[in-house]
Amino acid sequence: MAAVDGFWGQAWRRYRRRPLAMAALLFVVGLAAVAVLAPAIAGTKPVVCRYKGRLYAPCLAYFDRRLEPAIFAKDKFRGSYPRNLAAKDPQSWAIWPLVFQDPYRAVRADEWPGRPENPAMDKGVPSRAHPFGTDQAGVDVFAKMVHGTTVALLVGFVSMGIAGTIGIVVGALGGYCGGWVDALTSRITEIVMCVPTLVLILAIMAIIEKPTIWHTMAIIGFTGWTGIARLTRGEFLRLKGAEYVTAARAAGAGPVRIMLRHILPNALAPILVPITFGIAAAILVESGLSFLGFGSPPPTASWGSILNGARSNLGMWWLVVFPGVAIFLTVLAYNLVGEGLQEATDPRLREARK
Amino acid sequence: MPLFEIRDLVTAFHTTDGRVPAVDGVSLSIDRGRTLGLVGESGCGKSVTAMSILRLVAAPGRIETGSILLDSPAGPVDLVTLPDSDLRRVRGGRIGMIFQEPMTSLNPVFTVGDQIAEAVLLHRACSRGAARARALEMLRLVRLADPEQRLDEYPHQLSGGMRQRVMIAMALACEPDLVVADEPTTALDVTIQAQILDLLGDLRRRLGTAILLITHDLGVVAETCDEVAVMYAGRIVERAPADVLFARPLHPYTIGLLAARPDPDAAGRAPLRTIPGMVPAPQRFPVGCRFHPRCGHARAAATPEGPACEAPAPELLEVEPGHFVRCHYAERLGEPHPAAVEVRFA
Amino acid sequence: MATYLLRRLLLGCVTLVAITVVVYGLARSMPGNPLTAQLGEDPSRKVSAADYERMQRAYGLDRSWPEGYLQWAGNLLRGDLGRSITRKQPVTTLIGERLGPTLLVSGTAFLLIWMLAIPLGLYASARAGTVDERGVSLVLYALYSFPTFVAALLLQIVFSVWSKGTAWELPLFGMTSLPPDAPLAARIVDVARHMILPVVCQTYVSLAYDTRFIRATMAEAVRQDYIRTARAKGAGPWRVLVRHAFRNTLIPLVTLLGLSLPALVGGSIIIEQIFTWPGMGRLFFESIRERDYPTIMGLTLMFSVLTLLGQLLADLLYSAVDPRVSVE
Ligand SMILES: Nc1ncnc2c1ncn2[C@@H]1O[C@H](COP(=O)(O)OP(=O)(O)OP(=O)(O)O)[C@@H](O)[C@H]1O
Ligand SMILES: [Mg+2]
Repeated sequence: MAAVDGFWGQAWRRYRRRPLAMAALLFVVGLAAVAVLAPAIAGTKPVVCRYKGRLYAPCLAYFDRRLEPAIFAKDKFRGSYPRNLAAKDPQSWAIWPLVFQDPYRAVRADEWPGRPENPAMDKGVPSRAHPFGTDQAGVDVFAKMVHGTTVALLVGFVSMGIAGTIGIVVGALGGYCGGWVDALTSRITEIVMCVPTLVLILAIMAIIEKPTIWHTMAIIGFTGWTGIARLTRGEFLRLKGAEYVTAARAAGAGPVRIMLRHILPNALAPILVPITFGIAAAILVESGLSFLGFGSPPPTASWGSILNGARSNLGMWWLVVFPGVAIFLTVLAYNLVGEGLQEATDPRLREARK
Repeated sequence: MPLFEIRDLVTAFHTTDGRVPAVDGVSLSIDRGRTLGLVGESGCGKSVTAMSILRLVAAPGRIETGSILLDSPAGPVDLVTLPDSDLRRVRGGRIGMIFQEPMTSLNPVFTVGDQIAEAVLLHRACSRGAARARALEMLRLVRLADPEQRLDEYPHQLSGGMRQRVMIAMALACEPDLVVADEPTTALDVTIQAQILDLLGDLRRRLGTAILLITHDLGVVAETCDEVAVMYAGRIVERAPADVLFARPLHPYTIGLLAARPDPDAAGRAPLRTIPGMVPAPQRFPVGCRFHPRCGHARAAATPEGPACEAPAPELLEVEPGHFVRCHYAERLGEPHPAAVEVRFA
Repeated sequence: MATYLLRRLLLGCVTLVAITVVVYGLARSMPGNPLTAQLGEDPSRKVSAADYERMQRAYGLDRSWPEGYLQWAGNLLRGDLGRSITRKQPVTTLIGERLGPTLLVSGTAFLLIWMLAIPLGLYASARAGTVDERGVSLVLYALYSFPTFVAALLLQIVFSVWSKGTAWELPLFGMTSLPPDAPLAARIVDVARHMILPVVCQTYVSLAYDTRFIRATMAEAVRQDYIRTARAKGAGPWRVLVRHAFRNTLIPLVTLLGLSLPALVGGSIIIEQIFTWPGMGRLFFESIRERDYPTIMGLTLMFSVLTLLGQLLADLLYSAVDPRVSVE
């Protein structure tokens, strides 16, 4: 048995040789950067500003409302910084986001000195000022999409984190313990598989009183683990009889230790592949839900919810094209990463190449 | 002209690690109805040679140079350059092939009868019924028990030995002039091995088929072959009629191989001899004589200027009629050099 | 065989009970009821309070949900799936009405998928490694990652909005725009034109997926030793590919086939919703929105039965195409 880090090091070397998979990985890394830097790329709150002698970073409010410094509420800024800053403290200065546009509302006339009001409805065709156009309410689509990146990435990782955990636990128990445990876990898996996922999700979303994006992620995770569980079960069944497992058992290792320390590391590579593909699928499900109007409610900026706006105004093609391409590229990237991973870790393919 | 002749065959794999010349200048020939044994350690290129004959080497492998001549009524044809459609008539028609792995070489979703009949139908204009009858006849010929019943069984219902019999039946179904048998018994247990070899010898006598028998077992060669070619690291190092080779082996490698045979007479008591070192991988073939790093002669013959074995590479020389050796010291080698064979306790 | 089927049947029943309990519980826990749920524009679907009262008693909705479930299950055992509350029709009639349109789209898509995926997959395997094969594979991969709802919207924009007035214009919504008394030929053409976009949307993702699946299993199959045997026998490249390799890939393929059964009958919620196609998926979506419990339960039951049947079918087909496997 090769050392675990040796295995992953080799896998990484093989992965690096695949240009498409590398490009996809870079794309995902880029997306993560966009998600983290979103408030500095597009927003109406200063990234950093000096106001009444102190430094603030109001842009953090885009991550969580509560991070907005209280002083601006007290001074009645009402979210409109450029003029208020200048008016209420002439000494103040601010570093602004690259694009002065808000993902949640239309920028008003003269909010930024000299800038006209955002166009709304079908006047919002992409232009120099709004490269991706604006939606029905005049919200800048580019700003919405930049902030929606966070959702797209979080959805993938959180929901597959949940699905992966459930799937691995259920599958490992079934595969390792066998007997009635296996019968039970297999039946549960089958039941979850038989309920139409979208229906389950729609019903649960309806039950939750105020669904947030976190609920969506949790539900996608709780419904999307069956494939992972089946695969894990198979891997554990296969590895349970491996010599080093028998050796560990003979050395007195307990079942939990054997499962975690001896079997899981060896089963991880094949399990990671459906998880990566699952990330792509989760992004699709979330944007599909938002598109149907069942996703995270406003003001969460999800790419799918931009598309939803286009349904009633098909003339506004830019509401379809830009978020559509973004979803497509992200899903494609995850699928390519998954495939790269599969080829880099598949022992049979490895042997074939020598 | 002999029935079949390989001249200077070079087959290489083009991998990410560079060019791997698994077969590097192999020449051999077989006369009608004769058996040539091709022996050598694991990894020396025997299977690649066999696959090259019917151009079955899969990418990234490629036959680079050399010719493979098969005597035909209209003169010899070169299988290396033969058009695909003509080659297909040779495959299974004039040259049959038996593979190393009987467990996986049969298609799991077709019955044994169908698979033999397919070989017949591909080469003979006959009805399905006639092909089936021929398949049955072949199963009888290879002495499979209950042939009528086996005909409609699937490979997974047969044991390894039975499957190898089916493979032989399939290879012989069209009465080929040559059968290439690539370690036909390696995957089988000893008693079955003997039966299969008996069967092959028997069929050769009855059908007059020439056989290229690939093996790493010299005992098998001694019993079944007319001629022997010893292969080492992609090259033939010694070729001779079987009796000559066993009586007077010349190449240090052959001598080592013979010495490494367990001697049935000295049961258990005598130490087992092995050749020190390992077959080099094709990426790292030594320059000069490829055997010299493992060769006692090379060490013994080392002069202050270095042994002659390091360069240039020795040619295959005919030291007596029909006996070829690839060694700089071929003429001087009569008896095994004391240092040529190291003794180990196995 | 009989005992095998019996065992599967029993296990299936256990699974069905579990599924319906879960979905019934979920459905009843959704806030609101058919009276309060907003029912859209259609005034005929307004439920009168009296109607609702009657239904409540009939389906035990006035009691706790476990009791309600037992009542629903009891009715089911008597062969009664109940009546839709909001549509005032028996659920079976409703499903029967929607089955046709869904089968029209998904059946057409299904045929297209398999008729195209098999030759495409074989073509890709035959030409593995060449430039055109890589091109085809990349396009398929892209299609596979392309979200249906984006594709549907784009197609609507291109063929309905931008092509308005040209020969390319295709209808945006629904299944037909002709009155029922129009001549049959005209109605067929009309429905066919309405079908084009939904069928395209439902076809391309699965087509890409299945082609890649075939390609991958073929790549696995052609590495096997028996392929070499076939070539050594003198079989030509197509014979090797189709008779020897493809015949072996049928084994995983029938599993895929069996698993696609529920989607075939159930239709696609998203596509039917976008094109307002009067099929099962849309019915499901609407019944959840309307809190139409009997319809939700009827559809759930149907989906689950189909999924289980699909799995059974896959296993039976599996043993039919793989001589090494037999149903115990
Ligand atoms: N597909 C391949 N790619 C790269 N190298 C290969 C490939 N197939 C074979 N080789 C190389 O060719 C050499 C000869 O292999 P071959 O299978 O002919 O050995 P062999 O003599 O038949 O051994 P054995 O007795 O084990 O069957 C090996 O060293 C191997 O590394
Ligand atoms: Mg071999």
